Amino acid sequence: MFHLIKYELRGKLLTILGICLTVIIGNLFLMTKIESWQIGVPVLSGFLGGAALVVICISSLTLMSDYLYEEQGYLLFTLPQSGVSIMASRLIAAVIQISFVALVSATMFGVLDQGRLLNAIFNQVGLHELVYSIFLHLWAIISTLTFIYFCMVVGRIALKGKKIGKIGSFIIFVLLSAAKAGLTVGILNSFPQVVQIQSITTMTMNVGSVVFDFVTFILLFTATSYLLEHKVDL
Amino acid sequence: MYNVLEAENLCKSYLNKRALQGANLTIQQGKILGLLGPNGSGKTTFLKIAAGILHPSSGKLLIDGKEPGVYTKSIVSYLPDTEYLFKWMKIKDAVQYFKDFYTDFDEKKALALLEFMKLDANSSVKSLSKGMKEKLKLTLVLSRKAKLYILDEPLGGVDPTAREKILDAIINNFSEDSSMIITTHLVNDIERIFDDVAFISDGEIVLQGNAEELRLNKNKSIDELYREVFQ
Repeated sequence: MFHLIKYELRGKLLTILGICLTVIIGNLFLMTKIESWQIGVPVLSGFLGGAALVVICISSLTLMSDYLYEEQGYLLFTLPQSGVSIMASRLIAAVIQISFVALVSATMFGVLDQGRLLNAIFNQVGLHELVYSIFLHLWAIISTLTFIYFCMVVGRIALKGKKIGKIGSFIIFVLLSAAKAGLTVGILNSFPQVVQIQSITTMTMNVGSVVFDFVTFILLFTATSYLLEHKVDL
Repeated sequence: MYNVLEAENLCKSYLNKRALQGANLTIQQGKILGLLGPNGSGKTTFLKIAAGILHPSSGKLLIDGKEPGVYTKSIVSYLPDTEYLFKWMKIKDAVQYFKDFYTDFDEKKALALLEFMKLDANSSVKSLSKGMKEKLKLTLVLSRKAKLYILDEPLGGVDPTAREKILDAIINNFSEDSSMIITTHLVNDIERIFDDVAFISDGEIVLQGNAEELRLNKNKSIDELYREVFQ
């Protein structure tokens, strides 16, 4: 699996470097405008970081779709690797590249802001809250990508054509998202118990929805791994 | 001598087409089998099922006694009829890729084959011509000590000089412990290396046998027999 991650990241190296360079150069340009644009500068830096994250998230989706629809699939699916290895490597590679871009964007924002916002956060947030926030960040990436990868793989298996497969995957994504949202609302109403986490803003965590999210992730991860190994036809 | 590959009543259907209709085929250890047939006869479908990247609708295909999966992929060396290497790779990256993923990959053999094929390890994959890409793919595939080699159109789009080079590489690097299945339209160029041949038409094996026996019995070359069967 380590090798799968290595080659995924190597393949995306130019994309990751391109995005990071854009963020760095953009922020350096904004630094020259601090006097004239004032409050607009950190806002624009935030937008730049947000845009970089959107681009790298889209790039993470191609970690799966390229192999399902392009000839590179012949390289991946003829390797003696299990579906679990393939799925886990895609998720880990995605987490690494998204986290790296997020780190560069946050660092550049911190430099631009002369550390004011970051200092304020670190002064008011405890270590455990920081760890919890990082865990939430990772969980959000992993659970969202697992959900999307599942829709992609099901669309690919059910609808063979490239165009129709991608449209089908999107429709499956919309339908499953609606179903999942409905179930989450139902669980929130049936199990209102929450755990409070003190922070700058008070965060609450519904126990029922956390369990539901975790079970959903396990099911989708297992199903996608099985489908990748046993059902995908190239 | 045992059968490395056994296919029994193998069927594969798509929405509006039956690509394989009960194909039966066996490949013995140490043999090179030519799977011959016109376009759309089911050759590539059969090979893709054996390589584990396509799943049969019904029937059975076993490689070394196992259904296609993680184990069979570790003992099958497959040359697809596509340009599947990453565009960002240099030839040396492709060699390293195979070394990383296949425990039976022989790097020394790969480097010797690259030299034989006159390929520079520092060349970028995307800068290679079609013939050179074919030579590179063949180098990677033949550098494994696999139990079964599956070559889908190894001579496709390659000039006659390169064809000779590729055929020499196949013959020189084939071991008696292994088996090989090759599809091609260039029957005349390649028939000399076949031990067995199987003719496939509309997803069914219509004629199969030892290449030499077929030549003697029918008093024809395999190429002439091919033209007779598919005229």
